[in-house]
Amino acid sequence: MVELKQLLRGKLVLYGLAFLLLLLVYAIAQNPRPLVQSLAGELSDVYYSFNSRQPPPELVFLEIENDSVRQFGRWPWQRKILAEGLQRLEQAKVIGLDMLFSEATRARHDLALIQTLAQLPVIGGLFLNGPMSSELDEAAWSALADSAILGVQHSGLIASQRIELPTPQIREALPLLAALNITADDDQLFRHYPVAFQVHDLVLPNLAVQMWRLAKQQNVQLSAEHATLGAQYLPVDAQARLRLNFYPTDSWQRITFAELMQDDWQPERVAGRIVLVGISEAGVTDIRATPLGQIPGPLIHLTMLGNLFDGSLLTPINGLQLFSLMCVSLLIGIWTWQLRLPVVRIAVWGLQAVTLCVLGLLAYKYFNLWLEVFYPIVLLFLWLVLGEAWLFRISTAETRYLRNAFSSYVAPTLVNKLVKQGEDLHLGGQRQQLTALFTDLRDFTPTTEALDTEVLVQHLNAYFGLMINRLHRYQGTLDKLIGDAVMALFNAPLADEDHAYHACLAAAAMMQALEEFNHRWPDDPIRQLRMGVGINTGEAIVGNIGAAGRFNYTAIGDAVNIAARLESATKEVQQQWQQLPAAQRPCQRVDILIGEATYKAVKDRLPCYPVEELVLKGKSQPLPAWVLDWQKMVQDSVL
Amino acid sequence: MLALFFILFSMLSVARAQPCGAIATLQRIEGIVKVQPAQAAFPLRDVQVPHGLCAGDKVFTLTNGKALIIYDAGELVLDNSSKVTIIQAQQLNLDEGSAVFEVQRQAKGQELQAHTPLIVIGVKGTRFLLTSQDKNTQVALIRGLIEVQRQDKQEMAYYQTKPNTDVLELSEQERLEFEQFVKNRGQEFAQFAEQRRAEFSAFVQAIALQEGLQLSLGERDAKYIALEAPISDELEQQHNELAQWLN
Repeated sequence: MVELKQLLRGKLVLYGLAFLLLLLVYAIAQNPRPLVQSLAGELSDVYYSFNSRQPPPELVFLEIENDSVRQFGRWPWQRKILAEGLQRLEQAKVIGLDMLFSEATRARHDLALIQTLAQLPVIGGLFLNGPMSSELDEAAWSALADSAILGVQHSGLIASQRIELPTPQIREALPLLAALNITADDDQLFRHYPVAFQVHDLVLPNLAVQMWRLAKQQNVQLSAEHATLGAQYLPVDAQARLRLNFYPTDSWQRITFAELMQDDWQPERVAGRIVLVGISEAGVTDIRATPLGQIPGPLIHLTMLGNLFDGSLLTPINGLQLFSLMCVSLLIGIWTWQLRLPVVRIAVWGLQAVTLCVLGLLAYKYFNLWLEVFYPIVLLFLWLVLGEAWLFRISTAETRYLRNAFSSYVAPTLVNKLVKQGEDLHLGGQRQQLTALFTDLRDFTPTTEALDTEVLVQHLNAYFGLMINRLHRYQGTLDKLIGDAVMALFNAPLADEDHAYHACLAAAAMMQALEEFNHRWPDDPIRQLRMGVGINTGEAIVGNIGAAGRFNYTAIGDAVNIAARLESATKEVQQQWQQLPAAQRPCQRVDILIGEATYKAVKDRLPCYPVEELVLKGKSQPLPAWVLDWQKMVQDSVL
Repeated sequence: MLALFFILFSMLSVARAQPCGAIATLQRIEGIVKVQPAQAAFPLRDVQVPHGLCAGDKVFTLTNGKALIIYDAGELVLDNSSKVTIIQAQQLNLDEGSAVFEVQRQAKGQELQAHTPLIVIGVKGTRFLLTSQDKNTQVALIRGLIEVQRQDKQEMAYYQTKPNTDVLELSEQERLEFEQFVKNRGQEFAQFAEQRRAEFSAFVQAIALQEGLQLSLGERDAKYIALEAPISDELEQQHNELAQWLN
């Protein structure tokens, strides 16, 4: 019982360890290391391939691609060409330039661009690299402040000490500036988009955010606690980054610069639209690696702008939501651990993992929620390994417990069966049909007197070894050894539908074994043993009977008592039997007596002969009994 | 962040009327100072002073900036890295940073009240310096008399500096705590140090701050604390620099 309690405690320990693993994985998910983050990203990036959304129709990518480069020469072009093209976008609502004019070129070309920029709702770019920001003059800071998000207190923003601006003349012409920086994740894939950057005491928005501000005339509210853009909640991370919700790369409205410069260009094509001018020509190296593959850098800005326009910003399932999900998984896991077959358990774990992936996909596709399914799946795997290891440990302990409890009583094959069907072991008593077998040595006193104690014990041990072996061979359970007597049970503790028959076979085998045992000392009659066997079938109370911590598996009841009485009667019946004429004796010896119920169970299969009804001690009515002719059974090779 | 805002019960006139109905004037600026009109996504470019400020307008000073805002009740000098929101004629928010308020004596029943989310300051013609940064608010009364109480009328643990400030004996635990404060929360160092020298006075709903004293308002161990002490050299110096801009 103590061991059983330890086993139960073992499962509680398993649940406790599983919860600790949950806390560990949850903590890692809250602040993942770069490698872990990359692995998580690799798994959840699959979601994007299920996204068939189209970008908002207001957005246009004006790209400088191969045809344009062939037509106007290698980038960078003369700024008057760019100025001419930008003039053709005059009907656009907002124009974003994903390019930086940090150096002066020919004065008349620069002037053409300056004059154009000053007339358009255009946002120019700046890069957060190059010269130190401390080198900027007050005019530059003032211009930056005009484009900045003022009044932001957010210590987590990505900060830069360096900044590269357009030339002062172009900077003054540009209505607004915006950062063009995008930061890659640790695996060098671009999945996140910083809303803004900290440069000294200014917070400079990124290009997509600035384009939204200009288009919608809405400001950004940004703090460590929350972020909003107009009325739109921004699910930013600690660095004020948003997860990009990519569109299929071929779904964008694209206009090439070459098209723009054609004589038949229709300015209405961009009327009221948001146009981002950028370079997709491969030679310019503004190509970024994303979960969808290599795409032009400007499309990352447009993707974020599209997310802002169609409200498809991805909200991570994190914090309490992720913790709750993990807890639900743990509850399912605890249920899974109750399943008996390992293969079923593993299948359930797998099913749960698949379900999580499907849930993550559905959450993404229909609710713009982002579940990093990596963490719960890793948790499932850890639970699987932990659980199987722990259950193996418990199973081993259970096996050891059962073997310890029964191996000395029950045949090894039965022990194996008990171990496999542990629930069939009922501790405590129950009423059931069984067959009880009793043996006792006849005329054993001379032997005990003749042999030294040590020799006698060895002799008895050899005898008991043979008897118990034969019992086990026929699924008998040794109940106890009482002096030189043996008490055995059939149909307990494990069910045996043919227990009466098996008890008879065991008794005959025991007699045969005893005969072989006696042949070891053909000339030493003192060592030769004689044995009587009584077998009776009936109802008895069987189970672990005794005090707590010390149980004794046994059977009690009238059926058992009668078996013992039958064994006692064998000697007397043998004597009576010998007095009969040989012709009237169906068999020569009466070594085994069986009761009525046993007889009825085996009469058609085994040689049994009635004897006179026996008046047994403690019984008011005489009972019928039969001799089991074990020698004929040996001859007929029944054993 | 503790936003500090003022409700002016008196109707204010402004120096220069604006189409939006200006209720205050940005009179003087130094360094980079930006004005962001109400509901605008971007600040105004090339603000020229004097500039009328309307309800909802925000005035920002950057690191090297300083601004003088005037109104009927008085003047406000905004220190660098600060932000004021003109809520309405009777209310200005000092969202962040520091400012010196010079408030002229008001008619009875029309006194200015200074509000924070936690406190209300009754002003009867006075000059005081307010700083609001992170979770700390300080009020240094240069002249006049003000009364401070919590917005929710709950009690504050009111500490006053001990008469003999030379004696400061710290236990080992207190010394470690002190060092940790200095290390991690430099901004609260002065407040903590003062509190070590101060003694608990009472739980009060309102504190009448006397001239020459400062009140440091903060929260420690989930308790709201008001620590009264002589104006520190740092605040004194800050006031002196800003006060030069007062007319």
